Amino acid sequence: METSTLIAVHVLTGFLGSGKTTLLNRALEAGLGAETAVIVNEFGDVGLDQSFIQTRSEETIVLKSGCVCCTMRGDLVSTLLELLALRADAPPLKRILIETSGISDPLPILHTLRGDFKLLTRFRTGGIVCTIGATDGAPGEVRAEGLAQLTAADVIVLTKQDLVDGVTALAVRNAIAVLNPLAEVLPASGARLVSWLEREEAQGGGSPNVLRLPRLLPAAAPRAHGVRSTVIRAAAPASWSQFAIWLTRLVFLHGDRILRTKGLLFDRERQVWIGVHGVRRFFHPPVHLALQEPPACGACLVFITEHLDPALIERSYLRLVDARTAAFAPPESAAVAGAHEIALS
Amino acid sequence: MCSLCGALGQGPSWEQQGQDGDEARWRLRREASATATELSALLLPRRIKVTASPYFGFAVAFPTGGTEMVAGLAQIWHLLQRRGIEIPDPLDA
Repeated sequence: METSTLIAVHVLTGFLGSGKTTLLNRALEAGLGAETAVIVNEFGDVGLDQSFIQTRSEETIVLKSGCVCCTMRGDLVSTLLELLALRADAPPLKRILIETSGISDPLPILHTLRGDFKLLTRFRTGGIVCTIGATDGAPGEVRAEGLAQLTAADVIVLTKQDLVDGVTALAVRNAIAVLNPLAEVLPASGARLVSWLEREEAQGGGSPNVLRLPRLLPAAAPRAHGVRSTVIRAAAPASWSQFAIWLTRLVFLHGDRILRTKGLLFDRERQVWIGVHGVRRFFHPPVHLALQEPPACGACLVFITEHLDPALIERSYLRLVDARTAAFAPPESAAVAGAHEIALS
Repeated sequence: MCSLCGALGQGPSWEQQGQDGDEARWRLRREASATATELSALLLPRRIKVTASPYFGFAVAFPTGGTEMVAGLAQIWHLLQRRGIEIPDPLDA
């Protein structure tokens, strides 16, 4: 299955009133409409948001009977397949954008895309875009749904900055950096969002922003909402099997409290750097990175946790590495380009 | 196919991406076998033995004599939980 032939399904999420539909309109005006279908998810009987979408993409569909993220997963499967059937004679879609309701957790959408074999062979999970309103205050103070949206995001679009002063906007940005240091933050520009989506698609998805990992700051101090992060810089495990057993066990037992996982690890068997990207218990397929040179900081793993001391994870990982791979270090040049690799630049 | 372990099982491989060469297939089998060996070592105190199956994923044999098939690594933890078997916690000191 060639990744580039799969239709990218991006999720546009964000809390109530944070500007999702406005951003979607701007992105459609900026050129997102071509080869794009939009699915608008509403919570309630009347699909109001559809009326607010001024610029239509090639397809705009409203899932009327509730929140896609909790009750409409079956509907999402059938809607995606119907979209394909309707467009059988039309040029192929490049992407689908799902605008979630404001109280949705985006994670079940990802599970739906990966859990249904009919979807798996036609679609791939794209990026998660989250809108945060600068007027809504520090995002750590929002409800649990808002926190789930923010921490799952690959890119955060800061809206309504023109309505607050510079100090407030900076405070919101700082709060975002603490809660989700993995996400890129963009201004509320349709063109910038289109550009980000196109970059994600060019990379084939799976692990956007992974090369930013070495530049991340050390673990942030705990905040009242209990969200913390840690950056583990250590040798990669000796084998992928050992790492997989460790990580799957970790997220199975503690996945409710591990909001995000992202890593850059060297796989000795394949002689390649691999990007790992997970949102709670959902993991994207690992991505082989065609790096021109080894990353400056070597292997690196980032965890964002909630009400879980990330030092425990770090200690556990170091035990795994020390016990198995004390003598192992990646080669100086690990830029082995293979047929299956996806370039991230 | 398990996203993380690349172990054999249901669904397309996370690294095949349209390629279906013998080399990738055999590497996956080797890795699945290595994963099964590691799992058996981890679960030895519970007297559980795991073997890799080229067509189904993993076969998990329990001390009572029963064997169950799972599609991937993540499903093993679900199986153990369902059978009331304690999963070794990597965060335990």
